[in-house]
Amino acid sequence: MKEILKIENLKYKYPSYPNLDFPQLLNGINLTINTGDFIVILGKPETGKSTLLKIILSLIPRYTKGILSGKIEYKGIPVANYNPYDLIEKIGAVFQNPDEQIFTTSCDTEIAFALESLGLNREEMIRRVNKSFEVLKIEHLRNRNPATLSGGEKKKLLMACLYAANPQIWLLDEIIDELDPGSALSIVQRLIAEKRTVILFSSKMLNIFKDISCNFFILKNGILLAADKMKNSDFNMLMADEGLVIDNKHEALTPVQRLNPERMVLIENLKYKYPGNIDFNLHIDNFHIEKGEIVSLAGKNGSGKSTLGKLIAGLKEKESGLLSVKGKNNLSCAYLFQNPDYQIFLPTVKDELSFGLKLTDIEIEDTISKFKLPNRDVPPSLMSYGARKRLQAAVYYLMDRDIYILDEADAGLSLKDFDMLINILYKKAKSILIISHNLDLCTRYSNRVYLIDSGKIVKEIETDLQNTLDTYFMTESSNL
Amino acid sequence: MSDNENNSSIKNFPAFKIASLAILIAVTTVFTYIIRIPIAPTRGYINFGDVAIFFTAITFGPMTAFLAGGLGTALADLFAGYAQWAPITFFAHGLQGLLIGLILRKKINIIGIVFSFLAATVVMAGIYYITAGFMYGFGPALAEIPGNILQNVAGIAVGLPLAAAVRKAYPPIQNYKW
Amino acid sequence: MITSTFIQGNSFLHKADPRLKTSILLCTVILFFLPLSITAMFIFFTGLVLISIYSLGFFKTLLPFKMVLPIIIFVIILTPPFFKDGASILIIKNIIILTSEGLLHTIRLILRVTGITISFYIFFSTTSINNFILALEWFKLPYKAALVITIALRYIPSMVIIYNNIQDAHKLRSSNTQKIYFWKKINNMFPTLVSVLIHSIKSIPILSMALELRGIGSATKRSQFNIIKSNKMILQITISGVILLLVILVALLI
Repeated sequence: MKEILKIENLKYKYPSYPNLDFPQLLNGINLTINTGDFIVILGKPETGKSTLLKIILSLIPRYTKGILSGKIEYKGIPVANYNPYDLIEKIGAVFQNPDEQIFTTSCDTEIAFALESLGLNREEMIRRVNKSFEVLKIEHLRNRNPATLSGGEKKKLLMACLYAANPQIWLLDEIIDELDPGSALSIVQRLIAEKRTVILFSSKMLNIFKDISCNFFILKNGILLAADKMKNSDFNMLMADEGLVIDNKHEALTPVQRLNPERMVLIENLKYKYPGNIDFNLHIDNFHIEKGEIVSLAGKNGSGKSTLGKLIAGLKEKESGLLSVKGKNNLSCAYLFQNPDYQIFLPTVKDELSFGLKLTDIEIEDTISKFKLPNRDVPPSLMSYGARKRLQAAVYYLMDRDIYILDEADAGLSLKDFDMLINILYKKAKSILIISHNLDLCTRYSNRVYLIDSGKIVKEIETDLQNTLDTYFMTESSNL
Repeated sequence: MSDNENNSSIKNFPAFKIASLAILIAVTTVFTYIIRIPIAPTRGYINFGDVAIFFTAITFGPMTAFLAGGLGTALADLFAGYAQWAPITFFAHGLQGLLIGLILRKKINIIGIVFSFLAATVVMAGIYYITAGFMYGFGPALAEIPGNILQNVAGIAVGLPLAAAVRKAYPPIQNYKW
Repeated sequence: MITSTFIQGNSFLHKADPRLKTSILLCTVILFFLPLSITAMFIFFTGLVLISIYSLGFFKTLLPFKMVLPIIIFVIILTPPFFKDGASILIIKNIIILTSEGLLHTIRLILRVTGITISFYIFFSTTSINNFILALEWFKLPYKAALVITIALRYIPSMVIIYNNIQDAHKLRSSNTQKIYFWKKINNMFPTLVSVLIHSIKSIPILSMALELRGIGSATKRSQFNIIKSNKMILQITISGVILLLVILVALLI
């Protein structure tokens, strides 16, 4: 086995801003990787996985100064000696958000992009582009505009881009989540067979990892803990502790009181027509949320789940049917978008919290400590992703809405933080609607789960949630 | 291999210039094409293209404003079905952005603001007037001037506070000017 | 938002080389500014309309007329009063409203503005923007400029979606009733605009990183994957060149 990547005592801390100091993120990472290794680095959000990836690619400190120390070498040469554009055939990466890495308006051009940079001749480019389409099994996407692809398809396209450039080391950040387990498995297996080295970063333990022989590491408090250096039981406990596996045991929530049922939301025969050319329209026969309930709406990307959420929140106009939301006006709902930045625009946390509200200093301080926000004078746009999500929830918390709709709100939050948000919001809200593609998450909090597909509710599950879902799906992955 | 000290600032990377231009073109196109406000009594619209140009000129400097302002508005023309105006729009709005960027490059004070507004208005409305004059007569072309002046008024009245608000809410932006 | 002006089709204009079409477009625009006789201009204009009907269909050809209508109205109202020469055609209460010169000039302006509009309309309806960029690259547009436009085209639709989402997000935050005043409206939009801009600007370094990881900045000379697929270009150019020359000659003579 030949050593390909060596990381020694790597430490990193993001640069501070006035009123905002970041903790020591990486605190002595040690890792030696040989050619052909498959490594999975698990860690809850914000433990520094993406940062580590950027350091390996020599993007940090190139783009973000901060304090970096330690050694990181590709085949004996420090990666800092390379510019990122010299690394195409050495180290390649697929980032978490595919939209940030797609530049062109057609899939074949996208794949050829890095090959053009290498100055390959046209015949070789065509050969490699064709091969990539074939290996990733996405020939049918060749002439499509990448903007029109689904999340999973975009990730496959980006993997095809890497496959064409053929780097020695593949860094994949949270990308398996949206792929179907079968194709994810076969891609990784193929890479290993071709003597590529794969480092996968994930905030969730996925079943497919168990089918490939790989080395697990857990990133915690800035250091890497190797799974093979601890007892199996310790490893499992650590994973549960860090929220890397979702156990179905969220007990903090009290079960619903059904003595005096009060409908918060009632939908009958609701129709919504998508503008433009979309293959299906939304048609919901029956849907309701009672007072005190936490209801989940689970479905794939593009199944219409967010549209239904937005209809309830009054952000979209129905075409026909019954949609009654208690409290009448559209200000009875809070809708937490997956991306917290949609709502952030003011210079400090205090401004952001008190926008349009009259708050006392005590209320502000109370909210800041409740939601674990840095402090009142920090610019929200500079805070960590998780802190921005907590701020977003805090903003709605202060507005006293009846119904809280959380759209893929767990993304980028640790399970503990998400538990905390649900608990705080549930104290204030009359009802909560969780929208997610992750069934484990839905069953963790919900009394009832609606499954939605192609714009229709395909199943409503009320009792014995976990078992019903298991038999309904019988699939490997809990991700729809 | 490794960059020397002078080139180590991100705003000097070719990739960064390409990225900022592309994003700001997209911003300008969307502001021009999508964001419109009807003006109360008449049935006319004011678009926010000039807001984007003032914003870009102040925060990213004259060259970015020239290219992003010109190309962004030209693309908006193309998609709106006024392709024949796109080349002229490129120069009218590009030079408008360039001038604002040059005048307000060092510091922003009242004199600079007034000057940049006047220069922007004269250049933008002037280029449109002259080309429209050649195309369909200098008499009919007069009809466009009030609208173009109003565009610039909205551009500076919204663009300046917008630039200040964004700078306050996202301080790293001050490193992006080139 | 529509970010493509291309209309699927199979006409000879759809198939023609984009470099050729670009050159012809340029010639057409110049032609409408030449001091041609009204007859020549009219023949030329009719030709364009017929080509448009042939390659795009009758109803699609109406669109450019609709677009120039306001300008034509302005031209009809505002051109004649500036011309007092020539025989009077329309006199109301001793005031000359329209002279023969004025009428001729009005027609000339209408033909010019409509003709140029139709030419651009035909061009961008039968040429995809990607092909147009390739043609411009062939005419020595620098690669980086072409790349900037390509990336911008890819980002525009997603930015519209982000804008709409941000608008929704802010709608739920503030109790906004229907405000009619201009400044009030802008005031309400302000938070949305700030969020859109911060969101966009934050994506610049990330996009820059992704570009570098795929080789932008490297000193290696780039090769080209997309090329204009047309091997009959020389022939096309010669034939069109000859036809164009003949047309111009005939037009000048008429």
